[in-house]
Amino acid sequence: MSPWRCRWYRRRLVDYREGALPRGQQQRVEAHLNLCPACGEEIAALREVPLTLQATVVPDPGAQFWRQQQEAIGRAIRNAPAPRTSWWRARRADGWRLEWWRYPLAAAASVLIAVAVYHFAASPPVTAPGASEEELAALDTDSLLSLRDLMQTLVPADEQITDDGDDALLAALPLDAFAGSAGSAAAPQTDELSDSELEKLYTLVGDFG
Amino acid sequence: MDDAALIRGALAGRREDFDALVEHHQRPLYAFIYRMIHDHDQSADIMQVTFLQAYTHLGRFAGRASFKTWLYQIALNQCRALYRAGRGQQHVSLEEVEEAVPLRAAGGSGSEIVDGGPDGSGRRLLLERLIVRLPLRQRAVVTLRVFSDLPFKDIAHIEGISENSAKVNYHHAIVRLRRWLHEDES
Repeated sequence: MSPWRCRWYRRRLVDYREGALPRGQQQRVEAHLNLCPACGEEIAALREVPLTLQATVVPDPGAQFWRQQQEAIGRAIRNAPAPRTSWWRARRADGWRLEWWRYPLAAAASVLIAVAVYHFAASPPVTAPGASEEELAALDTDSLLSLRDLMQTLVPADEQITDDGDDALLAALPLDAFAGSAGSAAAPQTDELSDSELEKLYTLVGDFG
Repeated sequence: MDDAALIRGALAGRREDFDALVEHHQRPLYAFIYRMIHDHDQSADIMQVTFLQAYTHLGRFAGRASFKTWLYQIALNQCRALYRAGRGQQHVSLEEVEEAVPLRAAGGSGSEIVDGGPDGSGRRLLLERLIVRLPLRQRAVVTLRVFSDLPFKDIAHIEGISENSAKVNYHHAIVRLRRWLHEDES
C-alpha cells in the first residue's frame, strides 16, 4: 500500500480507535487495516501504549502533604486581593444568557437611538439675532470705519491707546487708505506733525507708504 | 456543590468555597504536573502557583471550558515557564531513563524491563519515563488524554491548537513511544 494512500487512513486512526468515525469511514478504515501491515502497526500502538500507560500511577505524597498544600494555598489566597468580576461576567456566571427575544429588543432600541440622533442632528441651526438689512443700510461709512473701531480690531485690548494725547496722532492717519474718500476733513495732516510725533505714529500703526 | 456554584461563592467573597475547589482538584492537578515534570517539589510549587493564579484571575474565568480545563491550562503555562527558565528536563537520554527505572536500579538484569515482568510493571515504568523524552506539546497531549481523560476538544483548548492538531500530536507521540520501546527491546 502506497504511503500516499495510507495518509488518508492514518489521519483517521485516532478517531477510529476512539470509535468517533462515521460508520462508513469506520468500515473503510477497518478494511484497510486488514490489508496494510504498516497501518496495522500504528493502530496496535494506539491500542497498547495508552493501556500500558494507564496502568502506571503517580506516587501519592501522603495525607500530610495534601493537608499542608491546602493550608499553604489557603494562606496565599487570604493574603491575595479578592478576585474582581465585571457586571457582565457576574451575570454570565449566574447562568444569565441572552434569550432569543433579547436580540430583537436590542435591535429595536438601537434603531430608536439612531432615529433620535438623526432627528436632533437634522434640526435647522439656531441663528444668532442680528441687524436687519435696513439697519445695516442706514449706517454711514464713518460709523462703520471709525479709526478707533479699526484699531480696536487690529490691536489687542492691552495695547490699545488710552492716552488722550495720542488721539491727535491717530487722527492724522491717512484715512483714505481705509475708506476711500471718506476721510475726516478736520483731521491734521501728517506734514503738520513734528519728526518725533511722526516716528511715534509710525511706531503705532506702521508705515502705510 | 458543583464547580460553578463554588466559583460564584468565591467571587462573592466566600474564600471557603475556593478551599473546596482546591480540595476537589488538587490531586488530579498534582498528578498532571508531576507527569509533566517528574519532580515532586517543583510539582507542589507549580500547583500552589496555579491555584493562586486561578483565584486572583477568577473574575476572568468565562466558563467556556470547565474549571478543570482552565486549571490545567494555567498549570501547563507554569510548566512551560519552568522549561523556558531551564530548570526542567527538556530532553532525557534513553540511558538516563533506564537508570531512573527502579527495577534496574534495584539490581535486576534489566531483561524484565523490556520483556515486562510477571505483572508487566517494567515496561510500564520504562514507558512512563520515556514520555519525558517527548517534546513538551506531545507530552502534554498524551498526559491529558491518557491520564486525565480529557477529550481532544478540551486538550486543543488548553494547548491553543485545533482539535485535529491535538489528534495528530497524540498519534505521533504514541507511535514514537512504541518505536522507542522496540528499539530498546532490540
